[in-house]
Amino acid sequence: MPAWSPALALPLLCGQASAQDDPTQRWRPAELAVHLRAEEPTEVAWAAWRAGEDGRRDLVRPLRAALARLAGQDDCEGQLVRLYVLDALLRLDARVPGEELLPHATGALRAPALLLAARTPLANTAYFRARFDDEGHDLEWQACGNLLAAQNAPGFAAGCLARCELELSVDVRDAADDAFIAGSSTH
Amino acid sequence: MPAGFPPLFVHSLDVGAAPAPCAPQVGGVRKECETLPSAQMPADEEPFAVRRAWLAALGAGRDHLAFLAASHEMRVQWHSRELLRSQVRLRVHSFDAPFALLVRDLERAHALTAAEAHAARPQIALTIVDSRGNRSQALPTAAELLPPAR
Repeated sequence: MPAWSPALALPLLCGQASAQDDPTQRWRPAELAVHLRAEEPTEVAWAAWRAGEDGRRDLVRPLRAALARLAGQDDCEGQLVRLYVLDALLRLDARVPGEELLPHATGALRAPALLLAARTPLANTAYFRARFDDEGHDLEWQACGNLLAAQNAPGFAAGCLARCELELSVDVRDAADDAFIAGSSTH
Repeated sequence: MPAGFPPLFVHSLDVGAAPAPCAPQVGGVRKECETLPSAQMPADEEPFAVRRAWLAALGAGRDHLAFLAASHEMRVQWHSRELLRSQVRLRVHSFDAPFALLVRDLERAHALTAAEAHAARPQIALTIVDSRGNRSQALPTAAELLPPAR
């Protein structure tokens, strides 16, 4: 299975190009937290990007707050700005609880959200289980199953067994259908 | 206000025993690659096979995994409609013994609690068709045939 990177096409789908002009050059470093609270999506994206570039671990909490505030904005721009926030958190090696990440496990955000959750696998079993139960049967599903199996997570074995569908197919033939039976021995 | 978004990037997820090769730049776009560990990543990606691989990782025995594989798609043919109910019930019951052993394996490995073991049982999709290929309404349903939970 090839590597999974659903976010690759998001900027193109949204019709967004990356800007050459970096407004953060005009911002004071101490103001980044304020920009993370801005209404304008691109302003939040730039603030998040700068936080990641500069290794600003002091901004993990405002980044998490921005992520929470943007939850549910599933249009292209809403996903794109959250992608930058998730990217910053990944670059800052932040530890984010799974319950904060779960609302963002949608569309192009699923890969970075899962990668963030996987930074603290023992604390985020519920996240992996929720995504596993989504039954996408894609790389996210496999990755979550692998993490749950590696942890011997409670309930995972039962979940696997419950979904093992055994396909028992019974063909019924009356005695009068002997000729038919003889001709259908390929079952 | 900024006119556009910051420089583009992509996060690439992979699973495997070792980190996948990764070019840090793709057409000028920063690329972050991460490989989530998987000691038991099966080559076969069919969901049923993947689940079997996980059950093996959780402590299921080889014989019981083979049983699961063999029973995934089982075709049985009966030649007498009169005997159908008892024979089909017998056949479905025959799933129970190896399945119970599989569950016991997992209980021993502490992957399954007693309550989960009691509740766990495979979903059996029972399809009954007559000689013309039609489903008969007079035949027992899968729900009727399923033995009670242990």
